[in-house]
Amino acid sequence: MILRYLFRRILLLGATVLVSSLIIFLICRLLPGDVARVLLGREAGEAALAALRAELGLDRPLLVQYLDWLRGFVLGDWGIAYSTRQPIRPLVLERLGNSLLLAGATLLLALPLGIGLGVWAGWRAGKPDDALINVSLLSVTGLPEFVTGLLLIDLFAFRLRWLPANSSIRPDATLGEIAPQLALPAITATLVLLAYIARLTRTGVINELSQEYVRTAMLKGLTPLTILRRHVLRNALLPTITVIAISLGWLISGLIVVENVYNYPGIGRLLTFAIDRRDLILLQAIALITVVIFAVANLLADLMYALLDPRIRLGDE
Amino acid sequence: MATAILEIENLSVEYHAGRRKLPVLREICLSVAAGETLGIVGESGSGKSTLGLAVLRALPANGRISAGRVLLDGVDLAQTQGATLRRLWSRSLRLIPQNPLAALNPTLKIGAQLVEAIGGRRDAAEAQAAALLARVQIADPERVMRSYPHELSGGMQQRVLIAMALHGAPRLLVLDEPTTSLDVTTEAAVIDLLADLIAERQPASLFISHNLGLVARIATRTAVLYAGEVVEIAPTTTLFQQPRHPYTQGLLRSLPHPGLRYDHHPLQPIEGAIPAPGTLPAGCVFAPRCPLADDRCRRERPPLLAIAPHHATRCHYWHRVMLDGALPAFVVPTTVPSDAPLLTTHRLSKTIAQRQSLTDIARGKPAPAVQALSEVNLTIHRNRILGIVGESGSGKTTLARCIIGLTPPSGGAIELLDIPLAPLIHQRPREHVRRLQMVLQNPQEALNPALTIGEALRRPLIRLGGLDSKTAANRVPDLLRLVKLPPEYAHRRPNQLSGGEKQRVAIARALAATPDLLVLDEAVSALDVSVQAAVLNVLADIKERTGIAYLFITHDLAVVSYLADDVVVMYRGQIVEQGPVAAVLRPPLHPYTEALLAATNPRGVRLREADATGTAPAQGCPFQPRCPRAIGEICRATPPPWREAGVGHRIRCHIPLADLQVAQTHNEPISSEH
Ligand SMILES: Nc1ncnc2c1ncn2[C@@H]1O[C@H](COP(=O)(O)OP(=O)(O)OP(=O)(O)O)[C@@H](O)[C@H]1O
Ligand code: SF4
Ligand code: SF4
Ligand SMILES: [Mg+2]
Repeated sequence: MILRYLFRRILLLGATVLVSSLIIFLICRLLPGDVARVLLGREAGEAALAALRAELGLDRPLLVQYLDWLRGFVLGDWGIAYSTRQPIRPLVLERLGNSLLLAGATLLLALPLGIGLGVWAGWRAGKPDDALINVSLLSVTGLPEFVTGLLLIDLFAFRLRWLPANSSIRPDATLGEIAPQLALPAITATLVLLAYIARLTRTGVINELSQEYVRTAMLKGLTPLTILRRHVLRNALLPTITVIAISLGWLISGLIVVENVYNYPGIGRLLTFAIDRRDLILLQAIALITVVIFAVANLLADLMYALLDPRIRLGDE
Repeated sequence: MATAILEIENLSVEYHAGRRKLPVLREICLSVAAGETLGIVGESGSGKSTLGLAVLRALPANGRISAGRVLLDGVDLAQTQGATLRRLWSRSLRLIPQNPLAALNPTLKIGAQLVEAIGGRRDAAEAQAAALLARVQIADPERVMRSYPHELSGGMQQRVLIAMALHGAPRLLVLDEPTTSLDVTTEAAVIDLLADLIAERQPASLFISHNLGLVARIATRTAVLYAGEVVEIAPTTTLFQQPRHPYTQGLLRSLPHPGLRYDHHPLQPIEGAIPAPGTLPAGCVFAPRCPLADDRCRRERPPLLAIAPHHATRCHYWHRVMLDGALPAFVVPTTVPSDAPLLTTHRLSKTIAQRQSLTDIARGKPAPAVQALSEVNLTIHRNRILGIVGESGSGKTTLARCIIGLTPPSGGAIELLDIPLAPLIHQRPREHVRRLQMVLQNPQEALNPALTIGEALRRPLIRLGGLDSKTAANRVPDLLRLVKLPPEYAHRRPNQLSGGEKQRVAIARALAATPDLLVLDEAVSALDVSVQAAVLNVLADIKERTGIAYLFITHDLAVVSYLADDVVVMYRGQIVEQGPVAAVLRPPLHPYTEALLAATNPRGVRLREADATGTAPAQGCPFQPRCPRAIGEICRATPPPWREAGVGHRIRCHIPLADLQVAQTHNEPISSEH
């Protein structure tokens, strides 16, 4: 049963990725602009262009190109970036690693803080401190990332000179060297995520507090804090788990702005780079790997939820 | 009467809704002795739960005791706070709520939740929890303690809460509709258990219910609540035999009594509806609905007047409240229809695969599949009412859904006027859809809140009745009148109607298509007795006038015997007995029918609870594991045969008919083996 469920989910995941790959491929190919022209410049002659197209395989039928690309992707040969003439796979994976690092650091900050604030606000719903938390979170989220980012850089990097404004990470850097580089981008991303997590947690807590089992717990003579800790939290945080897993996918792909503000060498910045250079093959690889991460994060979220909530039933329908 | 340990003096409670204060309880005075059970009855919204929660100091955040005292052993609970209140909660004050599943934490195991209530050292508490579970007749305490709430049946969940409420030495026990969510058979067993435990532990108990029959079985005295006031209080037998308040009398007249039929003694529902909090009339709160009301009543609020020892009523004209003489029971002549059947099912079967939780899978439990219907043969005739009875899980609703075409049967056939019906509703010709209509238990789900009543009624008239929109609009007032609603209601929306009114609209909408058969799935079960009486009268009236047939699904045997011509008794997806209502119910012959009827009798047979996870035995009689009359190996091994017990009356049991009849005429006690 469980194996069948897993098998079905993985099959579904495969299908999602396959369909996405086709869409990504088509969009990239239908985008205006000729790769050969971009690479060789305006002055290049027709013959040189044709030669380059043949070299890159761009003169073959679309279907063949697609199948070839897909086969390569699955087998680990992601091709050579047009723009840098480097193999794509190590490049993307290295950047992905950096992005994961940033996402991890962000979650490490955002989760305890967001959940803590959310629980507090939900517990004290309607009271002044709840309102204060809500208003401050809203105002922080209201600012776009590049504004918060620039403000933080101005404060910590230029005025206080505590942290570097530019986060370039060398591949052989140690954790101690990386930490200060990570700090500002992670804080910026945290501010974006914080309100979301906090609001979700707050709603969960308020919802659970109105459940009848809370009255049962109260009538056992438990103190309010025990009721919160033992009864409310677990149930209130269950829905949050799914969101966290999904936001992991979002974090990795959605940090474009943050990565660009700090010049952070993550997948988001690689994406901007690829778009800039019209590097379609690089773009394709980034888009597809993002889709894979999204799909896996979703699957993990569902499994985790089912494991933590004994009521969830797996099966058909 | 023994000295009271609970004394409620002039208790008033209000809720805050936005900036408005809504008084919901006014000057309640009650006292209860140790070991005594005081019944609290009244329509929905009369303030019963509010009273129970107020004395426990467990009102929702927007509720407040605005005046009065609640003395428990001389201590005023209304003034208690903080740690003192928490100590009282854990030691003395207990609640058994209506919905046991909601009252248990869904993600904690039963054992942990019990241990937490008991407190103290963990192993000692665990041992005590197991003992308590055994005391509330849970067969396998260890297994139950390791289970999550949703893995238990409703009856088991409620037993767990009873165990939780009865550890230590409770002084005050509030039971808020503790059996409303349970099957009749389970309800009977739980009520017996509660009566036992109250006698044993001697708390002062408030038993809140809208079910008068139930209150009569457990409460020595009963208070009737109306619009937040106690309007009458008396020893329960006195209250039922000599009510001295028009409202109490109205409630009693709304009840279908055994032996009374709709065509000879129609129910007398109370007209009108309970006033909303904050809109109380100036004089007597009941005046707008009272048949005896006059100017004095509308001007002057009657006091709660003691009119006999232990009997008090809040009515100026209590001596005019006429007592009903005992009504003669009317024996239904057993009629057999002669016309061709309207609808027949042939060996109708349905298997439903169940889903599984990840934890169950991890524990290696096999995926369950339930035989919801198994070879069901039944016949419905025009102008007749067929009642379907049985516990939950007996397949009643699946049967209804198969007939209407909401779920495809796994085997067998359904014929409408000898023409086979397509399995699903969208495969059926419009004419078939028109002829078969259904009303659900919960009108809330059935009515679209965005449509006015008029629009909701016009749709089926146009779509199924084939009328143009103008003619359809003209028909709407007729439909509303048919269900005894004023035509102006066409302009209202569902949220402006009461539950009973919504259900009448749902019936009117089903009737708009002029069906031949109306399937009613527990259509009156969620309604207050007075509202239920009104809806039952409407149904009887429509049948007499139009010759429509009803398939009436209910767990309430009193309603079936009041309304139905024929009855089908189902157990675990099988029919175990069917026939004319008088032949089946009076006296009951099949052991299961007998047990269903006995559930409302204080000294009747009790069934072991159905195991939520167990399935019926593969061979033999499906009822065998719980049958009090089982006769041994043959019941276990061989499926019982159908026996003809009279014209149109069939019974499925190994016990020979003559023996079953003898057992009933001598009213032989069943040799109980548990
Ligand atoms: N938290 C609340 N806020 C405002 N009004 C409420 C609240 N709870 C109940 N009420 C109102 O108070 C009145 C009494 O409600 P209560 O639940 O005590 O009735 P009840 O007799 O228990 O009804 P039922 O039989 O439906 O359970 C109703 O009009 C109800 O709408
Ligand atoms: S006081 Fe008047 S209105 Fe109220 S119940 Fe008595 S007779 Fe009816
Ligand atoms: S066949 Fe046996 S088990 Fe079944 S109802 Fe009859 S006596 Fe009971
Ligand atoms: Mg209630």
